[in-house]
Amino acid sequence: MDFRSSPSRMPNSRAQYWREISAVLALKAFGLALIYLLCFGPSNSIEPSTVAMFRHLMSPAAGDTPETTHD
Amino acid sequence: MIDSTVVDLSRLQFALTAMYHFLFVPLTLGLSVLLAIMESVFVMTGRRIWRDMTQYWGMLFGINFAMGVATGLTMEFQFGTNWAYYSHYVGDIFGTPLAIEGLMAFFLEATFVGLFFFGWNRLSPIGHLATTWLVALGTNLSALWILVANGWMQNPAGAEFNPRSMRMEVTSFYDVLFNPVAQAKFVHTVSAGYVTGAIFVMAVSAWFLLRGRNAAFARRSMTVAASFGLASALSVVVLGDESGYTASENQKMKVAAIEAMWETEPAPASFTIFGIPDLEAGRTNYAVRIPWVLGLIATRSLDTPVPGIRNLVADNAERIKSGMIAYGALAELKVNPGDDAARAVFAAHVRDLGYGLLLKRYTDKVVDANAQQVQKAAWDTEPNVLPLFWSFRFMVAIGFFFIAFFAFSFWLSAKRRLDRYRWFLRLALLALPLPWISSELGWFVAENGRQPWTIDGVLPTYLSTSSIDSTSVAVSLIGFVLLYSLLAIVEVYLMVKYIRLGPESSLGSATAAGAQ
Repeated sequence: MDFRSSPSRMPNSRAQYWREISAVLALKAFGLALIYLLCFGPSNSIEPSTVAMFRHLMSPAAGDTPETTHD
Repeated sequence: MIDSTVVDLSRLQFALTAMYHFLFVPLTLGLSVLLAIMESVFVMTGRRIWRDMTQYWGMLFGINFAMGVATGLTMEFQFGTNWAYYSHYVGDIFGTPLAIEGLMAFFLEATFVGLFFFGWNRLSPIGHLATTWLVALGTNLSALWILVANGWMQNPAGAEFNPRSMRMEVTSFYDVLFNPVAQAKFVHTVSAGYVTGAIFVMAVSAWFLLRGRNAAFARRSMTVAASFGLASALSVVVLGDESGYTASENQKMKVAAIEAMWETEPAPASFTIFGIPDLEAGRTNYAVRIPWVLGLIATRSLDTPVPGIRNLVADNAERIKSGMIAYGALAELKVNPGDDAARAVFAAHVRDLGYGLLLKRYTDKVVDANAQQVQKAAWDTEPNVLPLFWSFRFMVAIGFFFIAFFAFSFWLSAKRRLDRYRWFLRLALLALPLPWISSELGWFVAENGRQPWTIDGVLPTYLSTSSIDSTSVAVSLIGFVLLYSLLAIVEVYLMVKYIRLGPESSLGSATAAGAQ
């Protein structure tokens, strides 16, 4: 598409640009939300406790300790 | 024992999302400064074409910004989902620069990028110029804080381990912020971003000139990009050298692996410009070496040796034994926090606690590890020599190509011959992918060369992951690959579409015709 000979179409191009940018952002937001909703749930809490950290590094059952959010 | 599948998949997921994110970052860094330079010329001269240039390159900047935004957030989310033990262990330090990046730099960048696009007819020329410079400042500050966080992973300065909280805690935020590794990485990385922006402008402008379109617009764009690119390409190499020096101070194994240097060379060590590393024999065949260069880069001296891999493995074996003592003392302190003798022993050996943790791969009873397990753990500190060796050399070769390319471009620009040689315009177009390739190679060298650590010398990678099931990581990895592949296709489509439309799609046809 060449707009050199049709300057009257320029505003449409600008509007289309922002429509496409918005569509990309919407696609990304939807896709990322879907990934996190499908793959990660409440059982994946954010941070292990100090006790869990100790057991992870020091105890014979290392690595078997699920993360909890309390100390 | 720890599920190695979760570790491998989590590493792969982080690597892929980081490499995808860094497709957008360097162009944002480079174009934001180029936009500010172009608009500064417009404000100083009042010539309309410089405003049109700012708006057109700004339109392409907008596509890149929209595609890149939020791809960095998924990496931060992974610290919680996939790397929970890492987050607990070092989150107090690592989280701080990330939070500052979001609150200070990204908010600054995101706020003013809106004013940049929609403020042309609402702000004074000076006001809009200030907005554009603030966008550039925001993107660069964003890089600064991210690299402060990353630099701390390479060189954990200004922090110490607290046995009560079982985590690393800040002792000096000044040392975290002014960590020499972070500062060297910051200037090296943003310079690489400036080169990316300059090559992008050169390549697209060259395409216009090859097609006989927008000649005045393209020539001026190339003039700015040539001088900016030359200064940036020189900075990348000089500051990369500084990065090598700081790495040799605290990451000797990374330097030895990059050089495929198994034995310590007499000072000053030579730099292997080419060779075929033989991993089995532990030597580099057909090596072409430049005398003294590695010694000068890595030590800034003629009499300090650069240690080889075997010597470093032997040193690390001793540190593992020291770490076993720290580990035993820590276990005693957890049982009896008032045990002063255990506290004294722990304090004497805490520097090597991370090395003791390397044994967790081979035994749960770290204090009882045998000599064979210590040797295995010591050899784990050797990163993947072959990919590091080649990645580094390709990156450096591309860096020197940029210096030659921009020096010639600058000379052509000074002689007003930028559009005279079609072979040069084709070369400029073909060079387009190179800055992205070299940037990704650079990150590979930096991060793969840090293995087997997430925090160098402090926390092994395989002790950093969450106790998550491997299915969650695998499914989310597939999700990221599918979504990001789709977004990459959309990105390329939009970029090509708006480049082909040219400045006349959004600006006056007078600019397209070459008005000044």
